[in-house]
Amino acid sequence: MKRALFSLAFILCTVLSLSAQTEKDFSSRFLEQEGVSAEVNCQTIGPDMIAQLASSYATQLSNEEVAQLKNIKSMRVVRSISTTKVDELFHDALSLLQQDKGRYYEILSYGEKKLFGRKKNKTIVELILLVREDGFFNLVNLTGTYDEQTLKQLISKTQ
Amino acid sequence: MDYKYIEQLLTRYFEAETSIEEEQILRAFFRQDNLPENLCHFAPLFATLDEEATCTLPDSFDDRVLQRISETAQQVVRAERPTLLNVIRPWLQAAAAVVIVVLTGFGAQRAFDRSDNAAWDYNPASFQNSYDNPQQAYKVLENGLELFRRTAQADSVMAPLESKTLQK
Repeated sequence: MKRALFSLAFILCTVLSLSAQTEKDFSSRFLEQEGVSAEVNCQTIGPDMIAQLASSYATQLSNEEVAQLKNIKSMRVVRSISTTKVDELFHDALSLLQQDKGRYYEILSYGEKKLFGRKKNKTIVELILLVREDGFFNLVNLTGTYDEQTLKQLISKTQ
Repeated sequence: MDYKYIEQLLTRYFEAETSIEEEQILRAFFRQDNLPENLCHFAPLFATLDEEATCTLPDSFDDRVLQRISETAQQVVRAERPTLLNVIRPWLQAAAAVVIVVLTGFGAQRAFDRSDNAAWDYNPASFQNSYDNPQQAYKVLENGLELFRRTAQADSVMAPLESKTLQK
């Protein structure tokens, strides 16, 4: 009886700990789907580098930019190297986003630009921007914590 | 015949007031074959008592008891030496209990924390920086944010981002 209770408690706390952080951002899923490909490259800026940039460049940035950095936890930029498979890449990314409608929702669609988001509770925790411009495919994937106001500031051109 | 004396002895017998000689009188009386009707139902009681009195131990009883005593005396009682595991087992159990409680509390806190930071549910270790140089990282960040800033403008024309060699 004692052994069973201990085992149950151990399993419970393990499940809780694991369930706390197991999400993958969209660009990771996209790159997994595409496989090892020479068609795209990926640039990653992780939470520790974002924090370092926020402190290093605090004096050079405007208050708005500093506030934006505080909301950002990570950025990944996936970009096509050539112009050959841009349409295919764009279509693959769009399909993957639309595949799980409960996870990602469309925020904006402007011509060749599409912005999707992922919410957790009432907080936007991920933003995915698909841009097809000048023959290149760009996927900019931000993770962080945003609300509607900070999102507006992010996607509006500053003066 | 008047058996008043026997009846008086019986009354005193059942009240535990008879002497040994008086009990012997009662036993001798109830050993007879011809007993009065009002007293014959006491005969089995005194017959049983007679049987009990004649019960004796067999001759081998003493020998068996002495043999049992000598066997017990020959048993060697050895002290158990506690192993290392036995010594630290209570401490291990206490440590395991503490670990379980701490892990459960930690996991529950992470799972039920409703703050904004808790909403960000990604593993920081999964983001390996492509650049160690903050200046290079800042350039990429600025270009990415610039794309976002132009999102709301449908007529914007973007210059292509600089293509960097993948550094993971």
